[in-house]
Amino acid sequence: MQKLKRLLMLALALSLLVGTMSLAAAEDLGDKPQLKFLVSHRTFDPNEDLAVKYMRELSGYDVVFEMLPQDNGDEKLMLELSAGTDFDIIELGTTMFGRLTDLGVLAPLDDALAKYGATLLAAEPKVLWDAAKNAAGEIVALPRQVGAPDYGHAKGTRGDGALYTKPEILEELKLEVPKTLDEFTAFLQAIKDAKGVAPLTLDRGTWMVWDIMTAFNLPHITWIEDENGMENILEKPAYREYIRYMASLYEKGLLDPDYPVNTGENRDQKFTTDGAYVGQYAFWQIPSLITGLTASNLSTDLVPFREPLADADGKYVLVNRYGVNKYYAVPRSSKNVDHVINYFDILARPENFMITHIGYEGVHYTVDENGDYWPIFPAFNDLNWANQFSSLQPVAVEYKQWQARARKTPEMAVAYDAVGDTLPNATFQIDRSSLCNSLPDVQANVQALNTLLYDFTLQAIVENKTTDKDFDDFTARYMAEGGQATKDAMNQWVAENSFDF
Amino acid sequence: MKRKTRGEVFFIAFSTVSMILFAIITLLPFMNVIAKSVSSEGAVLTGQVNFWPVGFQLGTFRYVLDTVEFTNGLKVSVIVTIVGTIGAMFLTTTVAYPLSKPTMVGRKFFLLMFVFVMLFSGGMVPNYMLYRSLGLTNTILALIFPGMCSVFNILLVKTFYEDLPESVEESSRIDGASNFRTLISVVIPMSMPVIATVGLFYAVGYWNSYFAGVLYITRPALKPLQQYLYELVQASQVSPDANTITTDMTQYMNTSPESVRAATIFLATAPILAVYPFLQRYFVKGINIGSVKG
Amino acid sequence: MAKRNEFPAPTADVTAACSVQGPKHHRRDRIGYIKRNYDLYLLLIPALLYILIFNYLPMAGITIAFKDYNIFGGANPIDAIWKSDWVGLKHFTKLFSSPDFARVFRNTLIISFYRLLFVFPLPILTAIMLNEIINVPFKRTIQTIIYLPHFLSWAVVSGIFLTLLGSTGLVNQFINSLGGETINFLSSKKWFRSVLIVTDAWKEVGWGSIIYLAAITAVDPQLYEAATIDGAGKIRQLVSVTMPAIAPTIIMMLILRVGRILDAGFEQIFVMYHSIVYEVADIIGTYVYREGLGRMNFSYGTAVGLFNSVVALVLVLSSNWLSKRATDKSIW
Repeated sequence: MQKLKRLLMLALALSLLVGTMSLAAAEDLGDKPQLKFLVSHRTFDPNEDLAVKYMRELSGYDVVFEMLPQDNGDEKLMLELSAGTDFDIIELGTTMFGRLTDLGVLAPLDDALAKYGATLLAAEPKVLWDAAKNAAGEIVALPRQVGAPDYGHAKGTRGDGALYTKPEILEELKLEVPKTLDEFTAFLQAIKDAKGVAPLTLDRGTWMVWDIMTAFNLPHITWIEDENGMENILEKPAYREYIRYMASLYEKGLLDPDYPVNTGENRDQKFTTDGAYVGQYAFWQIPSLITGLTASNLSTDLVPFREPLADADGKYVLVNRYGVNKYYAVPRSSKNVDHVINYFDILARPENFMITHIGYEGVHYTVDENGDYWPIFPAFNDLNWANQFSSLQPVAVEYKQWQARARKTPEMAVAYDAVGDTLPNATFQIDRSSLCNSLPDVQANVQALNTLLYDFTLQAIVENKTTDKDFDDFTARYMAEGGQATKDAMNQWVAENSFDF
Repeated sequence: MKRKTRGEVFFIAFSTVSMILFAIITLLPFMNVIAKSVSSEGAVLTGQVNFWPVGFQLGTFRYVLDTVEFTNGLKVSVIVTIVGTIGAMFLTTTVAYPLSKPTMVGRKFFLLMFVFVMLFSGGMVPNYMLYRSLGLTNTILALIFPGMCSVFNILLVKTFYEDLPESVEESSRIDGASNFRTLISVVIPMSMPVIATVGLFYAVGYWNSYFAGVLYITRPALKPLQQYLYELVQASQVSPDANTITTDMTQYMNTSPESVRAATIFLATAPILAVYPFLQRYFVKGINIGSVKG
Repeated sequence: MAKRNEFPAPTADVTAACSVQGPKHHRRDRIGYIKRNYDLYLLLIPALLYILIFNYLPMAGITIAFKDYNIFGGANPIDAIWKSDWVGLKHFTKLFSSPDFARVFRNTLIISFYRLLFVFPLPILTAIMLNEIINVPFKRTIQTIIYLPHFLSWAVVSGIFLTLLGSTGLVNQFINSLGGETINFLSSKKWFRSVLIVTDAWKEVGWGSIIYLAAITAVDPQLYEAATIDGAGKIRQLVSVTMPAIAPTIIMMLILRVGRILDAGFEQIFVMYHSIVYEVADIIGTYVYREGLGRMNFSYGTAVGLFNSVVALVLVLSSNWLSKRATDKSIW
């Protein structure tokens, strides 16, 4: 306890020191005004958040958060901005960033960045800054990449969706975790024969089962880029094969009959009892299953598919996303452009970023001898939302610290490491389609098209509408309702922004 | 008192039994919500909880009541509901009276004017701009003004006024009372059943209203309770990610997000349910008309 | 029966009162009436002022249904309304010519009609039956309980029914125990509409009965006594006392319900449906929502809303007229 207190004091003193240092740097800016920050919907009030408190202390800015609603959030943002807003910072998704950039509502940041944004500019690679420019080539937002883009490494790609099964069933039926599609089908059939239930359960939103798609050499993304440019997953013959396979699973009773209506909770309920034996989970969902499994007297040592199902060549494709996840921008009406950049720059300095992201060492986290970050509970819980409004940071640094967040529970840590092996037979598909989201033709259609595709796919799987004609008809409709426009725009962008594969 | 015939007895018995069945059917899901809110995490996750708690715990309620977003929302909703209902009752009971007078000159015009409002709306943009230019956005008034004048409720009260026995109003008029006096001292006291009903409708309407918050409020501390609840329920249908997944609930309080939602639903509904028994005495048969007629 | 006296009482304003019995008002009489009853008009003012400011003023915004509204097209969103270009009926044509319009229009009418047929009468029935329960505390308890579901949002309700109606849910367990085949209620085209209607009834019937209950409560008990003395049984009392007393309320509710025929219950369907049942459950509201996702077309949304409003207006006006003809009861 004493030690903790001392540490806390030290941390406080340190933060004060950092605070005064940053104050000195910003002297020529004059008094720090209050900054109004408009963010998209959250279920918590940022003004009450501990990380935000640290941000205020460290930056010396009184940042006040206001929030858009969950429903009609984008419309509300348009209203606020067009009516003449007094916000200084707005948090934007990629499509809204594109829309507002085209409308010319966002203030250019180049001058301010040159004067006060050295740390920021160094934090992100050029390609992301390019993605934050308007047509005139001015930077109009701070691009923020969140996540783990570790190239050539499976963590962060499979971590968000791998198949898991339960040890009891493997033992009881003497089964091995399947490695190919045929083995997988036989595996499910064996369980079905023995237990009389559909072994594979999915929630209704999941139509891309990553580990199955790999068997068809299909990456789990809607727009797939290769040497020939961007193509929609609909245009790939492998997509048809994949859907036909899923439809056959549903028809044979190997896939949950409630699949089209299942919520995540229904799925978990089945998987943590004897209602199902295979499910797709992200590593961080595993802790939420533990108590359920324990309550059913089942083992909590879930068995992940160490490798996704391999295709005919014994290979499997993994996806590496590369792009911007959100932007911070300044509306033209704000008089505080310099201050906003200064604010984010202060918070981007590694020592500050650390605190706003995972708190204080010894209080909220520790670093072990391997340099791995581990959270300290319960203090770390107060920082549950800490990454939500943090500033920019080189992804490598952020990723390293992010591990503390990825290891919130022992089970989560195990699951995280289990699906994180370096996989020998992996090939990589780089996905930078999110960078296209700001193109006018893309932002206008992306949401409606995704819904269209999801609706069709669900119907195809459940009702086995999988003739070539079904696919052709739908593809024609998809293309007519904005798919072609999206594709053309993306391909033009791809041609102008070449990428070394 | 006349003895009841067999048909009557059957009719009463049939009604009673069907109502009991109906009540059971409606009660069960509510019990499910309550049971979930006080059951242990494991039981909720594995779907063992139907209508009775399994692994009883009260940590969830403590957790919800400690949530600042919940308590803030509760405060906002209570104020909005009380002030809004009072204002709305004033507007409604007054305007319904002239509209209930079949002899009133211009009655049809005014009535149509109100009915029209029920069918047509300007839409999001002009409504937002109106509230903004009146300086109401991000104030509690922006939650009170919308919904203050429900045409449906006006029509309900108006229909009720129309059906009051004319004789009572006559006697008041003979005494030389103005329309205004008649309304206050005769019509309103006689209309307590409908006033209680409409009061309940307004109160529930305010309590459940959600869209005013969406359109006019960006300050988190002013978010009404139902908006918080709605967004909490919706958020459960969108997957969180590794960064935002909450572990404090599951690890330290033996409760699950589903229990937290159930408890929030219960706590957000209980206050408005508590209002009902107070209004219920006005629904008692015959009390008003009989007494006024004396 | 507690029916309004057709002839106003002989009071101070007897001339004016008598004159309105005639088919036409005379101008002088009207002015005289207004002068004598000025306080009636004063009572109108607060609510009238409210709707003028908060309802009629914003209605100017409906014009964007006929424009290509660009919210940034002016100094502020209102200025932008005036500055946007007129496009005539473009947005309406777009709605009517969209490939699925016939399907969603048909679904809207069918589902609405089912609700009208099956759900509308239930609250009336419930109110009448509740009224028959003799024990007052018991009656109150039942009343309170049946209102409960109204307070749960559709998102919550659909979750509950999902568990009940799923392939392993209680209902299917019951069916299986009787030797029946498992029914996928929520993903079957045959069953989905019935599920919509039943869940809607479950959620709203208790709440809907309040209005009728209030109307029944207002009936003068002397009327029942008189009917009993005349030897009328329960059913006779129901037909000759209770029904006439709640008829105006029923008529009003019916007229308003008919007006909302194009509103087939967006919120409920939106949380319960999915592409497997689009063929039977996709309504105008849900279709327009999906199509407009992320496209932020304010004009199109307003046009669809206006279409709904106009249909509602026509229906309300005509059903009110019809009702006046047929039953001598109407809203105005």
